[in-house]
Amino acid sequence: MKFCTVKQYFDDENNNNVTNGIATTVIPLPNKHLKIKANNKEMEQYEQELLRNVMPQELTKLILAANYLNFKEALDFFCRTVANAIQNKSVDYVRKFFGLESDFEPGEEEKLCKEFAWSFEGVDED
Amino acid sequence: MGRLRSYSYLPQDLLEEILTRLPVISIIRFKCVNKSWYNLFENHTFIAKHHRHHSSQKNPSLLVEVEDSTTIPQRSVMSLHLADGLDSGVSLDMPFIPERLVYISDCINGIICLRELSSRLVLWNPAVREYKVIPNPPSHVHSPSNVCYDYPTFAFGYDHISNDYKLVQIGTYSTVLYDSIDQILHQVVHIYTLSTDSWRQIDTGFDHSILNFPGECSNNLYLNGVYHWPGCIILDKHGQHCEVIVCFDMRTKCFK
Repeated sequence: MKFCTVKQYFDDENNNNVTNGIATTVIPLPNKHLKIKANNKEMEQYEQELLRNVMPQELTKLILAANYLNFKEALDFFCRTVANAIQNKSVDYVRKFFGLESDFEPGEEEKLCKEFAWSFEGVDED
Repeated sequence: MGRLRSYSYLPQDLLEEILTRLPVISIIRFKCVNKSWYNLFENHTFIAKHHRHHSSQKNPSLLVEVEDSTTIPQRSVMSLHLADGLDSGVSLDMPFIPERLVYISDCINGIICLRELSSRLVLWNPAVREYKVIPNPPSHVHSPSNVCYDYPTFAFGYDHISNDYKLVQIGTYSTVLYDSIDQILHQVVHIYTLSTDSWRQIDTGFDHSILNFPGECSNNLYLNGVYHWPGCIILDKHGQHCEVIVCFDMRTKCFK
């Protein structure tokens, strides 16, 4: 029931959305989830273990996979992980992370940074 | 490091799923990323979604008024994260200069309504460190004999239809009749609307002279856009009364 799109994925050989590597990470999750559903701590540890070797940048692919497979718990987990990874980072780090560029007028950005100066306290070094 | 480009094709709805999970302080900082992110974080729909997500997380905190009576009495506001225990309180610094004594009146959607001893009202959102001092309501003076009976009763509420915050003030004034020892109580109701930053008087359509509101009330309840007060209808001169609950709907501006 969680995986109505999985069958479609396996049937569709030209699928570019989800690579095999990602599939092997995402697909075992719901079974594990059901087994240790009642115990959140254990699930958290399992999730940390799973993502220990995954670079934050590769999480995009996991997010796309979870979305494609309509797997809400995994999507929530991966999005939360990215949010945790970037929440204390600088504006420049976040731009590089998402491949964005500043489109503010000269001076506009400085004005904003000054207005929100308190939110820059405790930011991680790049 | 060459793989950083992989993020540039994340669809907007999935990007928002990530951003919804950020704490408020990060969202404020990331307004500086680019114009699109700035506009997103100012957008009411996103703000509501973010608030809904964080409200649904099961880690409640308490807002606590702290009174320090050691030297000169002072009050401040702290946030207490229940899961971390009762000693974990973090003091919330007010970006404005409060009077010594402040009281938390209400807190809706993360906005705290503070009342100061001089009856000055301040709306304060500690998460984004913004505040607004509410201008004083027009005072209602018929004649020199009018006296404000007690602290005005007031309520802070949210109208989700117009996405606006409102304050209701009920002031009880008494008029002394010159040839009698009786006092007539008048109640005047004013509503303040945040979007227009203005007060106006409303007509409540019922007989105020028999309905008594407690001036300073800690038994108020705000639920689903309707404010509830315990009140009292005076039945006769001998002090007979019955207790009622008065409701005010923020959206329709009607009392019941």
